[in-house]
Amino acid sequence: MRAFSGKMAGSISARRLIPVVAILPATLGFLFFMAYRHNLISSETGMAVIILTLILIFLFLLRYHAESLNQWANKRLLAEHEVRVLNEQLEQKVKERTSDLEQSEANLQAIFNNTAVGFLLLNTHYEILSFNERFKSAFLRVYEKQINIHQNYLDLFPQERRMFMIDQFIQAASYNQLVEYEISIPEGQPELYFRVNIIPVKSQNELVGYSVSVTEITQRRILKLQIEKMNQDLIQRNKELEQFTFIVSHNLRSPIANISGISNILVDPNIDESNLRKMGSEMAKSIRRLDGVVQDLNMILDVKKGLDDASEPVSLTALVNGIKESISTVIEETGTVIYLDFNACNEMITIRSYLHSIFYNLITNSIKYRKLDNPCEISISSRIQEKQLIIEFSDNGIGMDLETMGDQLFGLYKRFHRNIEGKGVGLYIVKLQVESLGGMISVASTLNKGTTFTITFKMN
Amino acid sequence: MKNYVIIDDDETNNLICKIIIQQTVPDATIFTFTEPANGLQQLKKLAESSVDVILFLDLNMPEITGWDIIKAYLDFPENLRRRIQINILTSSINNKDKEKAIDEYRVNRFFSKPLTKEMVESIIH
Repeated sequence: MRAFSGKMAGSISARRLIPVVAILPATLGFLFFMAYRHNLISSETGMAVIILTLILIFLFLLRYHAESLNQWANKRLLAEHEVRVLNEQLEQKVKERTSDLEQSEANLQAIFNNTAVGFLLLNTHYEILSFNERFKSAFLRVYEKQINIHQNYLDLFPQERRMFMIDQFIQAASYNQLVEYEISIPEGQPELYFRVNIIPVKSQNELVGYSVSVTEITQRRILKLQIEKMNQDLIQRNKELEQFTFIVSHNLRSPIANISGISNILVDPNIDESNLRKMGSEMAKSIRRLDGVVQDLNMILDVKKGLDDASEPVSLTALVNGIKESISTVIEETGTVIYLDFNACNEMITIRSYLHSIFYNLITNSIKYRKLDNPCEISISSRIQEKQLIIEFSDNGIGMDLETMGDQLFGLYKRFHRNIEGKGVGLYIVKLQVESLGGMISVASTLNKGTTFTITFKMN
Repeated sequence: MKNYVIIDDDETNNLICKIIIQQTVPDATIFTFTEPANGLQQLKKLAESSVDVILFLDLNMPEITGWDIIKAYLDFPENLRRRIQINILTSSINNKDKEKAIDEYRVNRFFSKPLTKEMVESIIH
């Protein structure tokens, strides 16, 4: 019975055919039976009609079957076509998706390989899983070693470095956080600086490896160092200014205190004649001293003004000869001899007035602190060393003990020899001027042997 | 207290001190030195001869400074040190010097120049 009651195409057509194949012959049979009984038709006619009817039914069935077969065939063709179309669409989509994926992977790869950051992926055994171009080239540049997939990353480093790195990895893993440190290469005098980040990579709460990223920070570091240096220079300059203010106020205060003390004595009506005279001359002395300090101050402030002068080529020989001429009397009286050796470098592009003042002060300084029982000899020479112009002033004077107060030699109003006229301004100004020209001055001295001042200028 | 030693490289100041002390303590014996080393020697000599000395000491001097003199004094034996009373007399207006002298070196007084009769009186009374 299933064949009739189902929903499939066969059952449906069976149900449709039931009236034709069962009810129609039954109705016809019944009608002929009745007609035969009333003798309306002969039995031969009935047989003929029935056979005809059966042929008709057969033909009808044949037609029906053919039609439905044709219909099914059509449907199948249609369905097949649909399936083909769908299939094609699917294939198209797959193609598109694949190309999208390829594009996006290519994009990612492009980013991965064209970034300022070097990336490295390691598993938990520090085996290299992946890295980008930047990492590879940076590693090659810094360690002069190629890195390859499946290599053990730690094996690329010396033992002592490995310990440090393992510590970093362990820290990243155990605290599950980014670990950051900086490296400078080479260690002694670094030229390259990098910042390294280690990030533990986890999958379902399980450590599977490490992502290492490396950024070069050389430029930033150099800038930072420059700023730090500038800052230190400023602090130093500030200290010097504070010191300067302190010294100047002290040296202004000193004669003023004397004048104040003298006037205390002078206002006493019982002052005796000799004290009155003495105090008068002391008053004049103190006022002269006060004036001297103000003049020194003026001169020191002038040093700063001179910086606006233009730089020009200055011949060292001509400079010294000019100074020799201007102090020829002193040179003759003291029997001073000045030896020059400017073969290595006789010309310097600088502010003439500064260099003149530096040479003048150092030459007169040597004459001032000469040995009285010996002719004064001064040697001035120039040489070039490591892109620096070095000018040396040596004398055979009385020298000094730098052990105790070497750091104060260039200080304002610092004096080392009380028996020789001097205010402690000359060397202070020399140092100020040398530094204003971007140079450095240092001194070496042996008591009773002589003194050597060395000035170093950077050459452009 | 009739022995006074003044150590200062500034001669004018030494002269002022001498006149002021003479006016305040007419029978005073006054020694002035522009060379700190000589002053130190005199100081020791006076203390060794068992007389009390009042010292007026400048801080800012070339070669040997007032601080050096104080350090040398601290190396004196206790009986000599008891004889000497150190007073700083300086043109310094730096408070740090004052703190250092009084807190660190336990000097008697810290005076700013010039020396006046009132200062001398405040020491002897």
